[in-house]
Amino acid sequence: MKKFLATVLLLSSMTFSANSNAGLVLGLTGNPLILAPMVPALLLTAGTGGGNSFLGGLAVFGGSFLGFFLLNETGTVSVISESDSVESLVAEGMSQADAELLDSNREEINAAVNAVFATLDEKSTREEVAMKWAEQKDFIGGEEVLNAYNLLGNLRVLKNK
Amino acid sequence: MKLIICFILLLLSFSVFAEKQIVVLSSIDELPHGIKNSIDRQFNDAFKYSGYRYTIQHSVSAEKLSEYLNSDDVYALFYISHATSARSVNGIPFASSITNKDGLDVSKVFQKINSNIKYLSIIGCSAKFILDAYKERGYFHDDLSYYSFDTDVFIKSAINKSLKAGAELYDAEPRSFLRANSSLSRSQRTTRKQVIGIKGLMNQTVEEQSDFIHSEYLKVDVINKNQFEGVISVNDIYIGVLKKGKENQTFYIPNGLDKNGRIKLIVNYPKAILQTGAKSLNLQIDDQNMAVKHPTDAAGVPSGGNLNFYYLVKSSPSDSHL
Repeated sequence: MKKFLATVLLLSSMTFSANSNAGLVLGLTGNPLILAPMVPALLLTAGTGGGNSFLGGLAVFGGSFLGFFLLNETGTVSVISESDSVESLVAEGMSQADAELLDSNREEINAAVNAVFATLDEKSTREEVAMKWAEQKDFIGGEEVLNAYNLLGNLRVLKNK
Repeated sequence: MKLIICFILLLLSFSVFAEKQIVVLSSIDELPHGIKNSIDRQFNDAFKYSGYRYTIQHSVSAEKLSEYLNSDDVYALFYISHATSARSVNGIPFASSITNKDGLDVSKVFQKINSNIKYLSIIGCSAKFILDAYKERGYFHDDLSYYSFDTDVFIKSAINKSLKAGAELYDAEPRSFLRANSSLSRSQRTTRKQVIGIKGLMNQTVEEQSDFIHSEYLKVDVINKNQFEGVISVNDIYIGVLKKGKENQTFYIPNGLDKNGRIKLIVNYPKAILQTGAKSLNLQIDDQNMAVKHPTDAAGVPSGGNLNFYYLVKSSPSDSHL
């Protein structure tokens, strides 16, 4: 019974914690790739705070009551994922040139997104996120790459609507 | 005389066995003591009378993992760690990784494996996808069998499955190992406590033949002032491990990895050291015509968070200030 109550309390606290990070989610909408369809995951990701993901919380939960769970505790967001190729990006609606730009700068874009995430907390505003993202422009490859990335974000949001 | 020769041959055969090593490594942040003991118990029960030299180490670094993966003496290696495959959670894509105790993604370290290792098991959630991709890209030698998981797993049952999956390779009686309540004397225990017996006279350990030709590589001397641990890669291809506490190291980058006129060298650091300030390396390239560009922000902090980027580019006279 005690375990059951502890489980309920733990789950409740996780849910509460996740909702309290709505500010972070609002802030992140400054990034065109992180819009409505992706919000639930971000709520979960932000859930335990301190860079830990919701999955990390689950691991702790599992470790306490169910046995030791081996899922990775921290997730690295990969906006241009391992399965994205020039061909698949073109199939999504990108031009060949833009797809090649994104492909050759994929590590920088993913690193920049994660670097921005790492600097945010629940108090971050949309403006702060936009400013932090703008600081990454040169690192990800300049204006052209940024525009291509924005275009991909818009295409994906439209697809998920 | 015959007796002496037989005795010497017997000793020699034992020395062959002695060289074969089963290695169990774990690298999990804050591994509970009870879980650690449970891991020890499971592997001890399986291997203590096997005839193999048997090593178990916890909280291993990327450097230690790389050492064992490239050792001539290791026959089978089990690695226990947190892992995840590339996955999409409600539309957000996450990268695959095998994360060690320090929060460092060591997945690329598994790209380089000594050909004497015949069995590799990564005991971690969904790590099978990473190994499948490496196999497909041709990173593994033909004799390597590997086993991992395509789902999220709990440690105890995962160890049992990994032990059984390799039984055909390292067990004298793999069928009895796989069978519960066998009538064989060694199998009187439960399946969780099977004892592995050594499998016949195995091929002697072969010293790894190096196909290393300097002219086919670009030599890069690295000065790592902060002496942080990290994993170096170029185009997703593993180059080496920055050893913790070591300031000077040399790495060799295979020719042909340049893209768009530059070699993009990425250093992956543990997330835990993100807050510790500048991590920049000083790279000295064994090519007078090449220069290094290292992106930083206005305050001089390297861009990319826990990934640091170094672009090795052909320099022109106007770049001489770099």
